[in-house]
Amino acid sequence: MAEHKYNVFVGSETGLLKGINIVRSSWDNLNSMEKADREKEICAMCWNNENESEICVGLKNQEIMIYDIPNKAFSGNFQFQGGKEKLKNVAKLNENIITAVDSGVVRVWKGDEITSEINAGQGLCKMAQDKSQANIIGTGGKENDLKIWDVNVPEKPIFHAKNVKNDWLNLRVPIWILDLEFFPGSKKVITCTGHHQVRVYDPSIPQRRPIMDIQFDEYPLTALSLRPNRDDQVIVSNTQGKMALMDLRKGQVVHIFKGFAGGIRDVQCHSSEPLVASCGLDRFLRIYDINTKQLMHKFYLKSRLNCLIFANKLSIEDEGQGEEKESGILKDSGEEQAYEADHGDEAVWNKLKVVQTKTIRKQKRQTYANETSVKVKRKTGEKEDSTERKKLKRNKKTNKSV
Amino acid sequence: MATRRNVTNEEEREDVQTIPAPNISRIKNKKLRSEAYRQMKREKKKMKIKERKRKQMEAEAMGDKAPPKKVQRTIENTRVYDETMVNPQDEEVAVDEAQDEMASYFNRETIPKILITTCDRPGQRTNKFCKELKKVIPNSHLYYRRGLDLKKIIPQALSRDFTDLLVVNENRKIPNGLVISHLPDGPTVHFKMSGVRLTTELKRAGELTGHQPEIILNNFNTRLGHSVGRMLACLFPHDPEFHGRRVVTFHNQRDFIFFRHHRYVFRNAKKVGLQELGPRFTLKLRTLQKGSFDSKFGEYEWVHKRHEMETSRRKFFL
Repeated sequence: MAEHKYNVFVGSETGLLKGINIVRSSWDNLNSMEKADREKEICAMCWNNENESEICVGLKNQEIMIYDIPNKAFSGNFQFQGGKEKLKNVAKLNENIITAVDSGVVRVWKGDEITSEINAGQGLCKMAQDKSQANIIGTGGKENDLKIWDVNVPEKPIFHAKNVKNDWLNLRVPIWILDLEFFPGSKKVITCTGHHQVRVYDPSIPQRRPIMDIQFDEYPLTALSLRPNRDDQVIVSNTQGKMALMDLRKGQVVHIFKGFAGGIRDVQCHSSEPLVASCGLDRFLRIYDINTKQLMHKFYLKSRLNCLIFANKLSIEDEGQGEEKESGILKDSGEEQAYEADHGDEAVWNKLKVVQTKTIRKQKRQTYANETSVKVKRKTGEKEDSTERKKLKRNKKTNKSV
Repeated sequence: MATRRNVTNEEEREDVQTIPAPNISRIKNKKLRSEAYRQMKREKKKMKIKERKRKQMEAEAMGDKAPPKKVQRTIENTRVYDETMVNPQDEEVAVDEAQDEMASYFNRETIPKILITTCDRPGQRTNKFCKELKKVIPNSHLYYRRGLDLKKIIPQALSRDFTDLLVVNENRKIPNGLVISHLPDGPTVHFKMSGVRLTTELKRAGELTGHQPEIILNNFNTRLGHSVGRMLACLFPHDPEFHGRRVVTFHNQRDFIFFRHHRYVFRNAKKVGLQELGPRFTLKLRTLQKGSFDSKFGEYEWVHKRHEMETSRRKFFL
């Protein structure tokens, strides 16, 4: 195959952008080694367009480069003036680029011009964009609590979180948001903090304090990623190399992923497959299956890794055509699709099946009703028994008195 | 045919008079049994020696054509494959290392200046050990901790141009930990320290001279090993004074780093004499942390997780 497709892109501390092909378990540096420079450390990445053919790469020296995947080249770059602050995040809004630096200045760029500027406050650590509403962004950082902004209204945030109540010693709880994400399809936001808390905020209700506050381990939580298609589970990771799947309904750890040696910098879930990728200071990219909790792939990428993005549009099956499929789950789904394509008439039969299940349900209902009636009878029987016992007791008492 | 064969077999069995092998465990008298057992052991040993001698003789007789000696299998040479093993030709690692926090030392832009301190209220042994460490490392300064926080010491050390901070920790008055923090923003390593022997406890330890030592770093081959090796090299100045014949060794074997300090002498063209000088100790890596010392909020590059990582005896990280 002449064309080499990549499933995951990873930005490293040496300024190298790495493309990883999961199926072939191979990886390449996408920019040349001579340009590798710590001053050009990749701080943030996002997709430049909807069909995921270009990546927006934000560098430490306040430069943004666009990497064109089909042409395998950096197509454009522009220097944005952010002073000496460190770039924290980039995002895409229609044709514009949103940048956030750690002094809290969030700017929207149209080409080289600033269209709007938000001052989110000192110590910004993370800016995140709502995937369903691109003009909504959330910011947070050290002593800089969660704020949700509309990019078109830069003066005042839509939502401004309030710190939790003082602790049992009546001391103020410090704030340090390290990562945040919007729940898809709802206004809720989830954050993780440097003081190992995971918090959920709901701007749609009057309460400004978090509606949920969970703690995990003892070290700063650096990254989080919501499990796709399920808004009750989240994957968080910390600086000691612990990545955990947490349940937001119970507020408990479901599973701790094994195998990390160093702190994790970024965690991303695949939007359709049950995969989660993580990268960090131990120079490894690891990809786990969320359902089976198995380590699927592990790549040693030689540099400390800062950020990663999954190619969601490029499904893993497409890549694996004519080659060995990766996991049983993927294989099954692929087979099903092929099957449907071949046998169009099958749909009719499927419908019939649905009817059949209904009848089964009816039968079940009947049986259930029968059972319940029996239960009721039993209960009444018990009641009768108890009344009898009481009578007996009374008799005994009377006997005694006699 | 089949029947005939059986018959012949039976005949053969009758012909061969088999003497059952003496089963020692059947002997019921304990004294006799143990005697028989010893006898058996002795014979086995004899046979073994005989066999070895025979092989030796054969090898000598064959001369150069003799098959090469078998290499003994050790847990080091059957080490589990590690993909982070650094290839010297690797461009990316070279680029990474050329720009890391220790690069200024290797580019000869900074001269190492080391601050040695201990835990709060150190024991006598720890104090003695620190004094010896001060003698070993050139341009090092020993300060009493005075109950200061490490995070408060670091800015002070920075203002006085220290390049490294060494902290010796102890437990029950025995030094058992070593923290090396490279300044200003270099990595911090935490070692477990064991087997500390002071110069006074060594037999025939030599007198120390003030020459700058040579450094030997052995077997730091993985990417992690490289980082640790570079940190240890950072403690000593460039340009050793060779006429001092002083040498400091950090020898890594099975993830234990052995520190030795010698003076060598070339006796003749073949023989080299070694005299041990300074203290002796062994280090084992616990954590490698990015940035200066911050155990709570710092990001760790590598953490030793005992039960998770130690899956095989033949797996090493340095």
